[in-house]
Amino acid sequence: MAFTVVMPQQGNSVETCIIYRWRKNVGESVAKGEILLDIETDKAVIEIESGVNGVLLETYYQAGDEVPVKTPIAVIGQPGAHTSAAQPAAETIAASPRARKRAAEAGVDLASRRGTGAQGRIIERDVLDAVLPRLTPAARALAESGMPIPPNGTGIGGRITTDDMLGAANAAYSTIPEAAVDPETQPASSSHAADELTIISLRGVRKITAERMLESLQTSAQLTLTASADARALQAYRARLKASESTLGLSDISLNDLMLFAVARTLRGFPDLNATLEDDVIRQSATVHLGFAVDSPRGLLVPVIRSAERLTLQALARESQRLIEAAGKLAPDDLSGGTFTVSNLGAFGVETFTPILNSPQVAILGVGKIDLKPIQGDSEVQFIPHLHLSLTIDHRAVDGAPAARFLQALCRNIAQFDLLLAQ
Amino acid sequence: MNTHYDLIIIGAGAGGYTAAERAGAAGKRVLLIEKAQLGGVCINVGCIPAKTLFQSAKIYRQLQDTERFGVHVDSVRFDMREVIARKRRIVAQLREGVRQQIERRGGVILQAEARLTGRKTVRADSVTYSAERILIASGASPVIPELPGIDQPYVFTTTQLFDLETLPSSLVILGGTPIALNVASIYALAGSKVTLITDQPALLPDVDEEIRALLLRDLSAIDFHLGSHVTQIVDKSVHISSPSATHEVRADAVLISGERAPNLTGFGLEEVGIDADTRIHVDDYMRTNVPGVYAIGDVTGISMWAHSAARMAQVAVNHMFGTVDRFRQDTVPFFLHTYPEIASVGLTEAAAKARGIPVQIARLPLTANASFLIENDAQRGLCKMVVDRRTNVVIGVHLYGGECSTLVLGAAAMLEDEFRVQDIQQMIFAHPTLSEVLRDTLDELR
Repeated sequence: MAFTVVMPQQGNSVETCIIYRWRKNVGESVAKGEILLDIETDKAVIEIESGVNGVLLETYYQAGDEVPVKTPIAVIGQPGAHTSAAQPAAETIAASPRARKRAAEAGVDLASRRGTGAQGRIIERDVLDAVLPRLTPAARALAESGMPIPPNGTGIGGRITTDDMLGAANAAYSTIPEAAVDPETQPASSSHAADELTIISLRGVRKITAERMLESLQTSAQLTLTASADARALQAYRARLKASESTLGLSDISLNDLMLFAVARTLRGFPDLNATLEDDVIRQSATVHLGFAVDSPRGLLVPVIRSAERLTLQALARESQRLIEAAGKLAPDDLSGGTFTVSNLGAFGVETFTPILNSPQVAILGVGKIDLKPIQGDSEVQFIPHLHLSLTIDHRAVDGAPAARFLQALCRNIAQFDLLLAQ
Repeated sequence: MNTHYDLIIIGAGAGGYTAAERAGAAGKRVLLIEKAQLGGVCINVGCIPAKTLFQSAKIYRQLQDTERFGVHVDSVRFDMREVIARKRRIVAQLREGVRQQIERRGGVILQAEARLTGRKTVRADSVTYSAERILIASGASPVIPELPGIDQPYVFTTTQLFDLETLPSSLVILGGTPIALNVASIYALAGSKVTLITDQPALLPDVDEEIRALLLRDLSAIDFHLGSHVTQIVDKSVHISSPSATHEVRADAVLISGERAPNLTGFGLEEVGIDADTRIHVDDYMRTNVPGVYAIGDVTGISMWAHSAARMAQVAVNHMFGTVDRFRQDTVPFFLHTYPEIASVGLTEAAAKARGIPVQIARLPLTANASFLIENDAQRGLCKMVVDRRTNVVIGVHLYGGECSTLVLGAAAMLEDEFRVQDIQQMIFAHPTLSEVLRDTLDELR
């Protein structure tokens, strides 16, 4: 008996996943619960366990392939088992366009359906037969009136309810249905034979980053303000932490952690910057879910520290450390739901830059390097270390003056970091 | 003793012990840590004692009103000492049942204070235990108001009141929660003079308006002081101040039954970085912000009923071990052991309108139901059903009268599977039973 492994559905919005790597080779045995492969979504790498004991008989895709969810990707069984029944959805499946559309919406594998149309062609009814039992009677009535059926339900036993139907109908359907049925066969990257060009197609994190950055700039009114903060208190505090007894567990708290702490605490008083703007609605958050940009091997990731304004410095530092260490395999939930973002390029010697908003958030802070700045003292000019800060806001949601006030408060809190700790 | 488990549960109330049973049944190694008694508030000082007292009080009440059924009873006496003794037996039996259910599935029960020391570690009795998953089910505690005289020996929470072997001739209840109303109703039935004082302007704000009014009118034996507060308790007398007047009420016993606050301190939530302010924040799968750590029941502040906690336990265990499930708040049943009872599930007309759902309301007096008429004679009763006009789905059922809480399961099942009016009309309802009102009410729709 052969068992078909299908690309699992990772959340409602994910339509395709990339095979990151196979942990098993064809011919190797695999135990139930053992990791079979890693897949990559736009947000995370996820380990996929084998659901059965057996031998990996066949794989249909290579590492780097982008595969629609619910598509068969491998077969596990006893050696010699018949695997042809578990072939991936091939382009040769005869199905009506309406059947394809339904299948794509509801996550039905067309290959698993028997066609009852002319010459065995799969028609809409054949797809609906697979889905309708998962719908409540009322949802079924909506489906029969032509409303799209979402792949996942929130009702009892995972049943699809009218709320799920209405939600799916409202969601913008950007998929081309056929894309979900015909697996892409292009390799992830191919180098031109004769010249040095490396051609990398946009996929996974890179593709999502590309789309989001462009969308951010195209759909919001971005304005960047810059300022610098007296960094002496910050540096002195960091030096104390570094010199502290290792038993206290404070010596690894970084300058970036101090910055995240200062930002989170300062944001408490500025709800208009701790907000998102979507569909003409500004949502100000009472808690600060603080995103921070991490340069991971897989590209730019922005993990989110939940309720950052309530954490002690040590708790915040631990959480940021965990998120950085886990960057390659963070769960989607660790990467979403942020209300404000910090991007720190100071370590690379960057003075100032104009960060791009992490949509739909309305503000992002760029942190630059620390430079000496001449300041006129009582009798002479002093050179005082200052930290460069640049704040990009969405001018649709926030005006310049409140943004400036936030930046001013942040500079003050950094300059008086020891006092901020006491608050 | 083994120190590594698949699941460690902190707190053995309705949520914690249900999770231990469910995870044990799924073959998982479970450690259940409880600092006080197995069963938590529900079994020891909440639902179970209340229902036991209600049962005795209801029989007592019914025996005073038998003539209209052609039955004559010579003398009736309510003996609180015997009622409490019975309660203790029932509580002990249920607690033992919980222990057996958990232990026969391989679960380990530890009586100790637990403390989270990491994402996967809990310290108890100076031993560090580890588990892949941790479930917090630490419950909630009554908020004790700061008030002169609050420390008098006759001021109780339900922990002491439900163990009091004499029926107080006068009982003053501080608080306007559904539970406060429930306790008020039970003691009034048993013969106490009950006064309920709350600073809230209205009781049961989430209950259907018409049903609320009917209930409160029928609970006229209870003296309600709404929008009032207590200034002090002195010499078995409770001093009340309302915007219009001040007065004193005699109190042999005072019960504190106001808000209950999630138990959040003293077991390491901050150190592990769990997102909690006045409650632990969880998603529909009962996950906290910390991976691998779940929370259920009162501590989440979502729905502070034992049946919600038990359901959340099932959701959390399912999610931990790979079954798709989620907690659906809209189908949490509600009922009170008042006399007559009140019960509901789903949205009220007002709640549906607030969500922008176009609705149609069906209503039927329960005296139209043969069974109700036989059992209750002239007592009032009402069934109201809320129907979504767009889909014809029943989205709320609200009942008042008799023992209507018996219908709430059927109503919840209808809501869970989104039964439409025409689906319910195709079901068979046993005759003569009260359940027929669920069909007959819908027949009133035009």
